[in-house]
Amino acid sequence: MVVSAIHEASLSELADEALAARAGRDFEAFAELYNRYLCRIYRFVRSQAPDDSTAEDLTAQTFFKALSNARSFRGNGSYKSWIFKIARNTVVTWRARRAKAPLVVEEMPEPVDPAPTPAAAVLTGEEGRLIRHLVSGLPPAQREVLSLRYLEDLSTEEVASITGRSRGAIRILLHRARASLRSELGERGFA
Amino acid sequence: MTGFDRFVTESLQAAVPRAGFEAELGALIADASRRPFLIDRDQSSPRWPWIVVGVAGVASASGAALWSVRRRQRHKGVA
Repeated sequence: MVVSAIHEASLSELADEALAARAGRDFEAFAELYNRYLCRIYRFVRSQAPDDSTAEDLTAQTFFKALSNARSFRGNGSYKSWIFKIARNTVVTWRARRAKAPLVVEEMPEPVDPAPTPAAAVLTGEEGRLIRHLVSGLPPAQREVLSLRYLEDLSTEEVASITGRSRGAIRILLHRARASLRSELGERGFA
Repeated sequence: MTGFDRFVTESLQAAVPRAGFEAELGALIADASRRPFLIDRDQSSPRWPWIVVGVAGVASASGAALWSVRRRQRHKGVA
C-alpha cells in the first residue's frame, strides 16, 4: 500500500514523455497519462463531432489506440503531439466513413465541470453557444486547426505535424477560420 | 492573446465530458489492459507474425502429406 502510494506520487511528477516510455509495460503510467489527457482529447474531439455520444466513442477509440500502440511511442516528439495525432486520425477516419451522411450539429451541453474558469463561466450563455455553433460550421480542415491551436495552444509546427500539413497551410487555414468567425460574429453584433 | 482569441478559447474549453464518462472509459481501458492478447494486437510484437508462420507451416505440411498420400495411391492405382 505504502509502496503503491509512493509509486503513484512519483508517476504524477514525471513528464509525459517519461510516462509514455513506461506506458507499454506499466499500466499505472498509462493511467496517469489518461488522467492528464482525457479532458483535453475529449474537448478536441467534441469540437469535431456533431454530438456527445460520437465524441465519447471517438475519445474511447483514441485511448484504446494509444494503449495498444503504447510501445510504439519513440520519444522523438512530444507525447501531446503523438496522442493528438491519434485523435485527429480517429476523427478523420470516422469522418471519411460517413462522408456522404449529412452532418447534424447539435447544441453543445452546458459545462458540468464543478469549477469552470471565470471566463468559461461567463461564456455559458448565448455567446459561448454561438461560438461553438460557428466553429462546428467551419470546414473540417479549418475546424481541426482552429481547435488544436486554441484548445491546446499548440505551435504551428506541432499542428502541422499532427495534421500532416505544411506550416504555410496551417497559417492559411487558421487565418481563414478566424476571418470567418470574426465575420460571422460581426454580423451578429458580437465582435 | 487577443480578446477574440480568449473568447474562442474559453468557448471551446467549456465542453467537458459528462460526469461519469472518465470513470467508465477508465474501467474499460483497465479491463482491456489485463488482456494482453487484445492489447498486443496492434503492436509490433512477434506474436502475430509467429502465429501466421505457424498456421502457414501446418497448412503447408498438411498439404504436402496429403499430396504424398495421393501420389502413392495413384501410383498403386487406387485413385
